[in-house]
Amino acid sequence: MTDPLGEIGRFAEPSLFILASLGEGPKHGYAIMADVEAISGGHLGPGTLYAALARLERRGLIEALEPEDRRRPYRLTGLGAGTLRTQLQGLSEFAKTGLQRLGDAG
Amino acid sequence: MSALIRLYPAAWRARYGLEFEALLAERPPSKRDLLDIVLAAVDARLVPQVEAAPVARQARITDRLAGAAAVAGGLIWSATYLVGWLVQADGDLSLPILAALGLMLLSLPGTYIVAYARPVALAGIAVAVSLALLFAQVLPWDLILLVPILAIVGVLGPGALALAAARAGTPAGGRWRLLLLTVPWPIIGSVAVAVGFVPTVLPGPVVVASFLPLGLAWIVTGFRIARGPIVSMSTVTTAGGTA
Repeated sequence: MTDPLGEIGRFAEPSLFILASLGEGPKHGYAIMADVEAISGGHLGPGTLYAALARLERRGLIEALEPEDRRRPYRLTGLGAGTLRTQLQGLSEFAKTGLQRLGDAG
Repeated sequence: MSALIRLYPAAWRARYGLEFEALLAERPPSKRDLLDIVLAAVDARLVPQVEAAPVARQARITDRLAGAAAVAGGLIWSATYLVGWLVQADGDLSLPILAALGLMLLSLPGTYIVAYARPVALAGIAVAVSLALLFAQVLPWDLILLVPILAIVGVLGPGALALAAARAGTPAGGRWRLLLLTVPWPIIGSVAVAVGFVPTVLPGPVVVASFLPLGLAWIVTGFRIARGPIVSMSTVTTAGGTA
């Protein structure tokens, strides 16, 4: 099976954060940006946000809901939720292995 | 804000422009964000994620005139070489060849208008350039005249059209193919006539076989131009594919 985030290239990391942010429910651009910055501790520029949103939408990982005024919320699709779960499990295994090795070395 | 959004392709603006503008109003961009937006706009042009679906509209008089100029240019070009070869009477063919090239050039603003579906300032520049070149072609060719003509033809005309195509935003294969077909050939032809490479005296079968496809291509292009616009931004979809 192909990795949808792997195809996204340099926007893979912000895309993963966006998927994680939408994991708790639909959000519009500003709310996603604020949430991603809170959970990642880093900066997410508006250009990067929408470059990633466009790629996620194009691959069917998120979908746009009806606009509320000028703001449009997005939500995870089933494929997006599955992809997020797979990615996070992979990261969890990676972190576990890394910590074990660090413990062994220490 | 709107100046920033105009950096993005038209199809992207049609899909994300409003919400992006709302985001920027809600959180005014820092200097770092401005750079981020510029880079993302370049990315959106290089790797478009949103495509405009072609929709039909009625051909306008501007389309038909441009198409007619292209067809006439192609017909004159083809007929000149064919008749010159078949009849083999004494004569210089430079006048009909230059007239054909002039008509092809004159149709270029039409291809621009077709690509955009709206005549704006760039179309005016393209018309002026074409008319200037057409006028210049009736004057004697010499180096003093040749240099500015080549500058006009080689830079301003195609430059205006290339800018027009870039501003159109989304990739429309048909439009690019049309521009590729129509922009370089009159330039190559004009230069070739100017430097004496294109035979302007009676042609043989090899010359006819070499130059006839250009005339036929312009006839086909002219009919395509006359049919109307190639792309419109009124229907926008996100399309599947790679990053």
